[in-house]
Amino acid sequence: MGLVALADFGSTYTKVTLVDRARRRMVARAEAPTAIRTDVMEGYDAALAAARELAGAAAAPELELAVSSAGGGLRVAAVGLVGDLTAAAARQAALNAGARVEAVVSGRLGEAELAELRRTAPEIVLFAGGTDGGQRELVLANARALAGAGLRTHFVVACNRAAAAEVEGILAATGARVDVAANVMPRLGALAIEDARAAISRAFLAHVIGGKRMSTDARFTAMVRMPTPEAVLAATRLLAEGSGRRPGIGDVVVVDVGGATTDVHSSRVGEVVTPGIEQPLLPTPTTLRTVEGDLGLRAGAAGVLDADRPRLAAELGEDRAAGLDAAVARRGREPEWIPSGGEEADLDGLLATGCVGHALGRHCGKLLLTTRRDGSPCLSVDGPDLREARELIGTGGVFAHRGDARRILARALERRDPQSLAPIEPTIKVDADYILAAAGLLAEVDPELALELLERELRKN
Amino acid sequence: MSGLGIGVDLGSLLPADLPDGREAVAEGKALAAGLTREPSLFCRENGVGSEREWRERARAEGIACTCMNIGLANWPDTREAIGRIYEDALSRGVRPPDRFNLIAERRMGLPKAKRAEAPQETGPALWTEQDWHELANAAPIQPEAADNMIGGPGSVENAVDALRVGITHIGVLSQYSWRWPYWDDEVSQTMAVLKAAGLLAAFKDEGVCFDSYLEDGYPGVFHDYASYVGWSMLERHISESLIGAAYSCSWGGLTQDPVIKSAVTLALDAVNPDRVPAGFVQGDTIGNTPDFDSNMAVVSTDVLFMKMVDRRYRLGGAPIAVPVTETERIPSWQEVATVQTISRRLEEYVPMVEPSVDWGTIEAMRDRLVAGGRAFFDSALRGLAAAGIDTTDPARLLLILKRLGANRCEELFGAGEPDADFPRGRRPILQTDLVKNTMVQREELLAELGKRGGEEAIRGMKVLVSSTDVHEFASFLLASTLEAAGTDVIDFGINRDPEDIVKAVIESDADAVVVTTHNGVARSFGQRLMSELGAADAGSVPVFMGGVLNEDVDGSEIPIDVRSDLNAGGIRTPETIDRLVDALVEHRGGGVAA
Repeated sequence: MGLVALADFGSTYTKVTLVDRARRRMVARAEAPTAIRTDVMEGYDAALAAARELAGAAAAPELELAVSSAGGGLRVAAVGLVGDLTAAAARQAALNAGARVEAVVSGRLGEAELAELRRTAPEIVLFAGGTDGGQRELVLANARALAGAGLRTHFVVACNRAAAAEVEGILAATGARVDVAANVMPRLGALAIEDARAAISRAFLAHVIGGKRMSTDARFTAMVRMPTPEAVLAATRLLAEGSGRRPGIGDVVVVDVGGATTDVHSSRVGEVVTPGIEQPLLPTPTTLRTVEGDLGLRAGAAGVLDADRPRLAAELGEDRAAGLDAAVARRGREPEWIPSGGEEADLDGLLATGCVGHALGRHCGKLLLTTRRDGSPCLSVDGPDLREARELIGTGGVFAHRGDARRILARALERRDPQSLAPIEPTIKVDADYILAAAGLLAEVDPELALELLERELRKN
Repeated sequence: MSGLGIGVDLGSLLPADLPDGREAVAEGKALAAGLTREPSLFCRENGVGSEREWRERARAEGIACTCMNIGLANWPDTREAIGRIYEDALSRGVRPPDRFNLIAERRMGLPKAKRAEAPQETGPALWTEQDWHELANAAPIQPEAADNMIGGPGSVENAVDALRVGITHIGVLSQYSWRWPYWDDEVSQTMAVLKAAGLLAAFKDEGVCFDSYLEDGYPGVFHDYASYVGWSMLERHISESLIGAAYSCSWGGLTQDPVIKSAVTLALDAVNPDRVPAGFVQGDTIGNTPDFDSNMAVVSTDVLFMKMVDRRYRLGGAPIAVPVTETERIPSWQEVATVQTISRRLEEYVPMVEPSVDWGTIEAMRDRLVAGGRAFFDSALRGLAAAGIDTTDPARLLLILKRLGANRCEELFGAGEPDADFPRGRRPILQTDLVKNTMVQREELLAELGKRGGEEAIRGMKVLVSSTDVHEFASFLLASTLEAAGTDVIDFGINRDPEDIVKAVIESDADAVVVTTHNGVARSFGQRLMSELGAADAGSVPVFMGGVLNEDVDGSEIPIDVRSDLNAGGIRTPETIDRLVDALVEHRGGGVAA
């Protein structure tokens, strides 16, 4: 067992982590600009060379694996019958596969829905609808509508099992590639998205990543195993559940603050439904990814300002608060800009706290008290209960490059609403070396080593 | 972690202007100063100042006490019956009953000024001071002012009247969960109960007790006997710790198994630190059938066990022998007298049988119930406090428990381990006979349907079953029997809104929708459901509703039957499950269902 190179083709930088399997440790990490305009393997080779030099490694890695969010990532549209049932289930399957969900349409597909799909031009359409043995006529009608919509896309069919073969035939007759997966909602109250998630992943590898033309080097498509967010989710789940021979730690939450979006990944273990508290119509998967497209440190900074203006103004004081709009606008115009320190760096810290606080609040469930039509009270939850999460981990550039990463996360936790089911007293850790994506990738071949690396490399300080 | 372990504000369920219950209690206590009390005939003849004093003496001296329920069509008939029962006992050479519960007419729960205008119902009402005097002096049998006395908006007036004439066990705390006709003001009802209880508290040292009959309140629908025990601890906490009134815990009518009943009685005694004698232990009301002769076996076994437990553990209780006709009609005085005689005769057998019973098994059951009861009690107080309720204020505690409802209370605070296989989400520590009997009812329904055979016409028909409320057993019975009839049941659960049902219909392509309802929303729910189905292009799916099809509609003082409105809106309302099956068959066959 020798070196494994774990690459993450990001939209701006390509990061390479070298892991020595014999010594069971990470030996180096390096990054280089992602050469998106020429050939992304140039960036990989540069990063790999730098990492090998740091590691003093004479031999080339014997295994090279990669994740990618370059070239716009994986773009998926979700189609279902009812917005908060099969359409929501399909959307979640796509998110868990690490995709950007470009559109979610539901009901009987009409011209408005088809136009939306054409406009967003997804790389994959995840088609859902009907419980197994349930709705068939509407599902087939939607399949025929999609077939006639002129979309150039790959279909993953995860609908009523009794209609799936016919749907496949209708869509395949257009010349499109079609894969069939298990129904994302086989019966009312049951969510089963893992098969659809895996089908999306396979389609990404087989048909999407090559189509992005990011490299002419055959190594690229051979290396890439999944979209980057899927690797982060896999690492989250590995930490929570363990590797079989190595126990997990229990519930885990990871927050990934980026320039444009903030992702939250969570994994819950051994959930017990509390009697007396009603659950949502569609259950929450135990492994869950949400994406807040309006929260980020650069393109998403305007969204943070919208959500957090009074708090930001209070923190900055009147004088500095007057310049908030201009500061945020600059960030939107200059996504590559990194402040050298001082007030702008402070503002980045506050924006990051806002990203984490709001994203966590939206990801985690809330305990709701409502009144039924007969006047009786109803206690319910609308999302995952992560109050007992053992760890909250921050990942992303802001956490990798700042000394106050833990403080950002701690302050975000302090902002939780009383009704929120966000973590109460987790251990706060920082992914300073982008080990989450690398470990999630490594888990494909060596889950035990991947878990060891996570336990060792995620920092408390 | 408890679902109520975080800051959900249950206080938002309480009116913002809810007065402080402690002030109402203090007002009640202040009323005592102007109240003159006379001893009842029973107390005079037995030389005691209160029923509690008598029961404690009886406990110490091994005197077996008995109780009866009495409430004929009106007070004069009831008064005469009491006298006749007393004389009958003497004529047979048996000791007459020690006490009786007056089962008063429901209007007694209203303030006096409102009683005349409310509709008359069956049962004795006490209109004058003379009526009250007679209640306590018709015969040397100690009355309890029970049903419809304390619990409703007329609580204070009833408490004053009862105390004046020498009644010293006054109830019924658990009836606070009831609603009286033409009275929707829960705040004034709460204050009236607390003021009345405060008045009782002022006479605690003179033996006055605040009685509760658990099955009249939430325990009557609990699935776990441990919840019974926990609920009694909650009531005791409210009565004794927060108000200062001695709490008497009566129970027993919905339990048939005498071994379980013995264990629960002992558990309730174990959580009664001052050993306040329970007003009564109600006899079994669910074991009886229309066969009156066979009911003799029920009353005999039931009373024998109640008396054995009482004697062995010196509880100072007063078992009620249930007349064999009670499930079919109001018993005559003769029928009450007959079972009182049986009850007294059984006392001969108690010392013969009691030493041979395996009390260890019963005590072990008791101990599990006590542990579970304490867990329920702790969970309730902690959870409510964490959810923003001032649990030191009896008004807030009473009203929040009322507004949460029985099912929710047991789900949230129950001591059983969470287990989705059980209707309330918890595995009961000791399952109640209510649950057991529902399962028996299900088997009987299935057997009946089995006789008509599976219906080919509806085989594989997708029927979506749901409920507007928390009555899980109605939905459960419906789903079970429709499945047995051959349909493909889609069990959509309880507490559903019309919009959710429509979503489920779209995804499942259900062939029919069946909704049970018991919470007074039948018409508005049905109308909304039909409207939403139409908007979703699913208006051709037939809808059936059953249960309690009523609603408070504009201009009505009480909920009215809305069946005709539902039928006019296209919703079918078959009266039984059998007729529902017929209607489904007819629909499938293209006929017009009844």
